[in-house]
Amino acid sequence: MHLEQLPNAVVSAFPLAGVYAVVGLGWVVLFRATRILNFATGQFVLFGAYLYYYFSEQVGLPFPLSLVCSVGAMALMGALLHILFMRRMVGQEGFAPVILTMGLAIVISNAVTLFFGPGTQTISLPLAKTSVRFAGNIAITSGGFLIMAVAAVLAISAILMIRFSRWGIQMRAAAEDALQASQSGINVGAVFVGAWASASAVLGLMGVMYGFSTVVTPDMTSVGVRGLSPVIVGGMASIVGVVPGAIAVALIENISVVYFGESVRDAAVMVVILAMLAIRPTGLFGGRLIGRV
Amino acid sequence: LAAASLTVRPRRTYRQAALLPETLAKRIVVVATLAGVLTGPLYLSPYATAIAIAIGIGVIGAVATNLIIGVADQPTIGNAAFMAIGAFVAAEAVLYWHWPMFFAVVLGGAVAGFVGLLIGIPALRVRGLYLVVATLALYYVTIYAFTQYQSRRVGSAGFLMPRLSIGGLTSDHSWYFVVMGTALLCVFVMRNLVRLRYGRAWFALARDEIAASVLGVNVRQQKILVFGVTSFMIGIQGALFGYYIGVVSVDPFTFDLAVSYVAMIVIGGQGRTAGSVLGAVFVVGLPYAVTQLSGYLPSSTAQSLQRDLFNLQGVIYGAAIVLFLVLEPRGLIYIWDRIKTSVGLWPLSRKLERPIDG
Repeated sequence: MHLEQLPNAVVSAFPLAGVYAVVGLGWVVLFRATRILNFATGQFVLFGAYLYYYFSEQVGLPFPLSLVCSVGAMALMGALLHILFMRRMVGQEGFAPVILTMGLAIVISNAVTLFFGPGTQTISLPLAKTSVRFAGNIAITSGGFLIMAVAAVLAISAILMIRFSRWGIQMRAAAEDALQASQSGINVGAVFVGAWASASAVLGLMGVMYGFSTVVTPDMTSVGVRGLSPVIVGGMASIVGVVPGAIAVALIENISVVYFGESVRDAAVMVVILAMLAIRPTGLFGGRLIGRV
Repeated sequence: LAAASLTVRPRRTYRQAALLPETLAKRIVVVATLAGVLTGPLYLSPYATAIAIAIGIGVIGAVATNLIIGVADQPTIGNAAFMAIGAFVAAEAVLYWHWPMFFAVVLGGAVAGFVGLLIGIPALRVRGLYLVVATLALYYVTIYAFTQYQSRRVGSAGFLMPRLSIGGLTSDHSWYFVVMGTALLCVFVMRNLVRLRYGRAWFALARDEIAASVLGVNVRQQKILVFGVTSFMIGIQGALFGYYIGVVSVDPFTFDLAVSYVAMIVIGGQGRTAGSVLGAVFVVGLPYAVTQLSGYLPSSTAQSLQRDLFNLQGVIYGAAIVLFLVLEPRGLIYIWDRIKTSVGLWPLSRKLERPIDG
């Protein structure tokens, strides 16, 4: 046991929670809008980071321009993916669309390695890589603060957008009953395109932030599947639930790493998912979605 | 489906209905396939034998995956975990308890099947995408447990398995017959299961659980059963796979491996026995085909390609999954059905094609 690491693990759980909150948003926005679990979520994070690397390090664009370009390219990619592929899957309940996203995940992972190589890249934002020290060796890096800030802004605006904006209400209506929604004049196709574009833009943005606070490698995708757990904890039907879910999962993950070592990281998150599914499958904030025979 | 049913002949007696290959053509195909597979070592090069064994192992997994996802519609992604269970149990039995290979592999399957029965119980509570997530989580937890177990017991290299030799055959040929025999048995079992009470109950489950229960299907029992049966098959497959590659460790049992079996049934055709076989041939054979094709490129291009070949294979394979789902979600087997129907109805086929497909 390394109990002296415990305070640091707790503090550093918060930047991680920021990552999870945004990745969780990526999962839950698509699930709410289109009833699809997007297993390419981690690959979207990866691709966003590599796009930024491409624009800023290889093309040499300045920071704001490369950020806009990479996030814009991600949004465009999301929209195109829906128009080209996922549109054919609308209305197909169940597994088929999920398998399609797994195929996409394989394509993106391999294509990124094909173009950028399997090695590690670094990206730098115009921000000093310093860290703020609290007592002793407890510290949060500037990258960590950036992640928390971006996550807070994204989470709050997503919650407000989906609850109050015209687009958000249309999205919820389309998710509830696509046919009914289109009958009352909602352009369901456009809503779905919007959901895909915004989800992949948000995930790409988080990829840039995450890549800045750590490094950019093909292994970044693991954050995608782990980011599913705040969604399960908060409830797949709930956007508000993602934030407390992310904090809880990040805390549990970091504390179990202190006790059982780094290798437990994935498994700890997955145990949280299993426990939640066994106790309360709809999550802490979700409504009823499951019937039984 | 309507188009396919046009070619089915009416069955007049119970004997006709019970007979598996209904038509002469089908009987010829079955006999030819059996003969072709069993005489394989006579004409296959060592390289081709290795590919055939890989495909055979793939067929076992694809059949099991097709039963649970394609037939019973219980979407799961924990495949690789059950393979790992089978492989580790078999390794333990062979190396430490000195069991003969056959019993070790069956034990591996039995333990995986038992775990599958246990997994079937929570599957009664969660369904659909929640089941995907639950089996995904179970996969990661299982792999973590085996990583810990492996590092305590033998270290990161894994369990070294002895070479196999049956009745004076070379190792490769022994493996060929073991794997092909198991694969043929699995195909036979699936072909029959889907015609029996169980298979029909599972098809009913897939359509509508409430309707199935009204028709007298014990939904809970059948769900647990389908998990048990398929996990048993996957455990056997994992045991054979680990034994065959010679080293049992957690490394090959990746999430991508689990996805590849789902990919096989999507590409081959869900709910169809022949679809599992076609899908396994396609997915396992694809990397070899890409390697082979890259050999025909000019040598300078091929050289620069060599480094990226693995990722190129990945891109093509992922794109195949996406394109099949978008363009022909019913898989390769349905393309074959369509060809067969249009040939069978030849002078009329063009007029019939559209309205029947709907």
